[in-house]
Amino acid sequence: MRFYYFLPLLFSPVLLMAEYGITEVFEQGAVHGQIKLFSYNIDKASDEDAYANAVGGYLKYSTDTKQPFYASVRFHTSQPVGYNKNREDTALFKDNGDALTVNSEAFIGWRSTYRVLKVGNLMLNTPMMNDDTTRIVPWSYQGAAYTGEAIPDTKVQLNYIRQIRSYTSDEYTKESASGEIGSGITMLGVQYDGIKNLDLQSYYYYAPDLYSTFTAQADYKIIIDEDDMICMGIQYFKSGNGGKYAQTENKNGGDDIDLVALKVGFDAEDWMVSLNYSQNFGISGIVKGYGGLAKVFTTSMIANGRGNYKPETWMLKTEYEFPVGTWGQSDVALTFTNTRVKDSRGDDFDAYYMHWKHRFNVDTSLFVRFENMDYKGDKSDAQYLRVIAAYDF
Amino acid sequence: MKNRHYTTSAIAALILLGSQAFAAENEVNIEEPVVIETVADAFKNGKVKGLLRYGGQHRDSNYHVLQDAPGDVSNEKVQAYSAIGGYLGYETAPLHNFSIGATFYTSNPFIGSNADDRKGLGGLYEADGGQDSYHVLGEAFLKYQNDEHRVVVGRQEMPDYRFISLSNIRFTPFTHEGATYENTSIEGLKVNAAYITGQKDRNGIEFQDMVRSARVKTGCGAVDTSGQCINTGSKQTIRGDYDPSNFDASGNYAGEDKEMPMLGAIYSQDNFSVEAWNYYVNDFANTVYLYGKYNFNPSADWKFALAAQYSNQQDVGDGVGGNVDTWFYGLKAEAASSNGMLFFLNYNEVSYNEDSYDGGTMFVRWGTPQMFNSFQVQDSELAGTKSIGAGAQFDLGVLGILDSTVIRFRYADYDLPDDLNMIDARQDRAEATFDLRYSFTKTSGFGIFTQMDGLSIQFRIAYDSFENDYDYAAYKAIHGYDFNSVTDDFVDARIYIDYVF
Repeated sequence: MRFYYFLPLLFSPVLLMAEYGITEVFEQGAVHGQIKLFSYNIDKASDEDAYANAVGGYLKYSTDTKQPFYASVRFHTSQPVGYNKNREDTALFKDNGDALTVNSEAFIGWRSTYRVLKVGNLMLNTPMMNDDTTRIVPWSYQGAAYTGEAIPDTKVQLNYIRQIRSYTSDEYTKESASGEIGSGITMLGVQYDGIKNLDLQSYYYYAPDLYSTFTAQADYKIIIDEDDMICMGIQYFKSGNGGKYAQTENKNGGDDIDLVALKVGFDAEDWMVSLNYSQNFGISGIVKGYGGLAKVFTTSMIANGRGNYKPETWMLKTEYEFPVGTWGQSDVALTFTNTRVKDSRGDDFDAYYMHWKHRFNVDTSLFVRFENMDYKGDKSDAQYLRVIAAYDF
Repeated sequence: MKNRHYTTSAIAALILLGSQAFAAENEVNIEEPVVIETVADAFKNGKVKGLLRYGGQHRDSNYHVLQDAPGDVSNEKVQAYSAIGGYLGYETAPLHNFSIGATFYTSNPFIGSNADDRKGLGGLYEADGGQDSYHVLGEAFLKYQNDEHRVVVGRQEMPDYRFISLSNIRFTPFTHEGATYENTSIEGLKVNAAYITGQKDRNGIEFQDMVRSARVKTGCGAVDTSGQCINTGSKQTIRGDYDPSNFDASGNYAGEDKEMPMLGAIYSQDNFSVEAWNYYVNDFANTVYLYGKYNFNPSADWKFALAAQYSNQQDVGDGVGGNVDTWFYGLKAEAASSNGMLFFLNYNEVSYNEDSYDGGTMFVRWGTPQMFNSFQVQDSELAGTKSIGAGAQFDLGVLGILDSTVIRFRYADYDLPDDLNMIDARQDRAEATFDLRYSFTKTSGFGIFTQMDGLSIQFRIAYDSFENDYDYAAYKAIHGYDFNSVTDDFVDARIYIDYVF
């Protein structure tokens, strides 16, 4: 059954509100947008250098979301501007480097007190299937997403995804970041925060033609005083049930993910530090999962412990927030990464990352990010610089 | 059965939408003036515009197969699309008279048959060989506007520039890229100037230069270094000297991008208006367009108007499209009654010149063809066309017959050069059309293409009949052309269900 058949119903549910005129439904709607300027430079010790500048953002319109039935549509665009080299390598545009304009959201929603159901093109935020907003155009997914919060302290998510759009494409296809999904991906997620200072979440992704994945995460806080606390977390990712499209050695995901990650950190009022660790005992990577970026503790801008060939990663992260001034507020961050692989086919590397982010106000920000990758083997070292200015409205 | 169910759902939804649309019609909406002092104010008080559209078109273009054709030549050709989409745009409130805006346009296959072999109408994305979705940033502009001056830079809709316009007759309109300036400082006079660098086709996702947008082709595919057709069985449309290296193996223009500076002036008084426009595409062609209309009211119940138009197109500069030397003119008489009836009679003639591109066919693909007899399918722009057309439009709401409904009937006869010795001979043809527009928000006072908020339905159908009483074998022998079929009668039907907010 083709998804297009549902499209005419995109705005029709709001009409079922007998006491509510359609004009009001649209007039009470809301528009949100973002304008983003993105400059990206990739320096490598070879001809693989790439740089590009992009201007774009998104425009989103939702009918009155206070109504039980509502609809929403969002377009993202990323347009190349100015000088560039190998701009297709920056993943800011289409795979061939052309400007990219996509329909990232177009769904009808049904809402009751404790339940929300959305059907259409969706942006998701789950550990192995998410939007990845590190460029201008995110990933998005076509299917249905149900969220229920009827059970106290518990949030249940049930998603069925039949097609996926990559962040460098304007087409929804049966191709995930890890390979073809065939009959689709069904996800069940449960989050529970009923125990004081403890958050639990677990997801199961069932993709019979690709591979299925179980994830679990626990986060615990020890609150010292009003400003200070100690945070601890543990994650586990395990895949299996490889289907006909599974590629075990795929760095983005395969049927042999077996990753444990730990985190311990100290969070003060304006400063935080954490030590993160992960070990993937499997051959498969987990860089992008089914789409987006897999949410593993050992994640920096480029460097991460999510690769294939059994990486073991230590990551030290620290961030400092400056006091609010006349011109807004800044924060700076520094991250050191050490990755060593337990399989000779992988790449050992060390990396350091730093950023400066300034918020002029709640809507306007400037974000400068830099990461240096020092590979220990034959792979070419690389430096990545991103300058991102964003305005939300 | 499934399709029927989905269609029923959609129709039910739209009927509900329509019934609800009446609800707020009579409410008074008093807005207090908002003072815009900051960029944040400008964004917070901007305006959103949106269109949710279902659009479908079906054209049954059966061929007339020639007697000497091989047995396997099909006489069937059906083109169709069925799509849903529209646009979503936002423009900030003016801050010191400056604003910015952007609009996304989208079209997506929906129900019906959108098979690859039915493409060609341009309602969906066809560049990849099929009929697929497309999404495009069609507008992205910076605007300055005060009482007398209006400057827009970037991608924009240009609805009122005659040869440059939206031509919104498929799913999404043409939009253009460049800079426009409009001046209204002299009472009665409006001056439009523009420098246009690109045009987005109706179903395109990229902006192309103004020569590609004019759809310049060799007509015969690849050409050799001397500019002669490699496939001699097809007619070459380019005449005179030109640089064959500007054309690719398919015969499409592949040379440097060419821009279009243009200038127009409209002078209006109570009972007449005159317009003069000049469109200059660098190294390609210059187009002059003149238009005048005189209105007179012999009685309180009737208003009459006479209009005339003339255009001349000549090659300029390097002449990347070869020789262009053509013209057309038109005459129009119109009578409108106070009770919602409109009658009109048109005449157009286009130059026939075998030394000009395609025998004198006018380049008109930058917008809606301006010929008075540009109807639903036929545009009266082809070389040597002499056309006479007539029509009547009835506002059934004003007439007291049926509220919220406007209908229009048109008929035109297109007499084309069809002597066997003519290189650019074509079949004579005629077109009869019927249009209907129904609004859920207005009871009367609108036309077939009037922009209206709320829900409306537009239905259009045309019957095109083609003369086929020709000696095609002799024509092929004289000119060395090789073809097995020609166009036969067809029906073109279109429906649009629009909700504008």
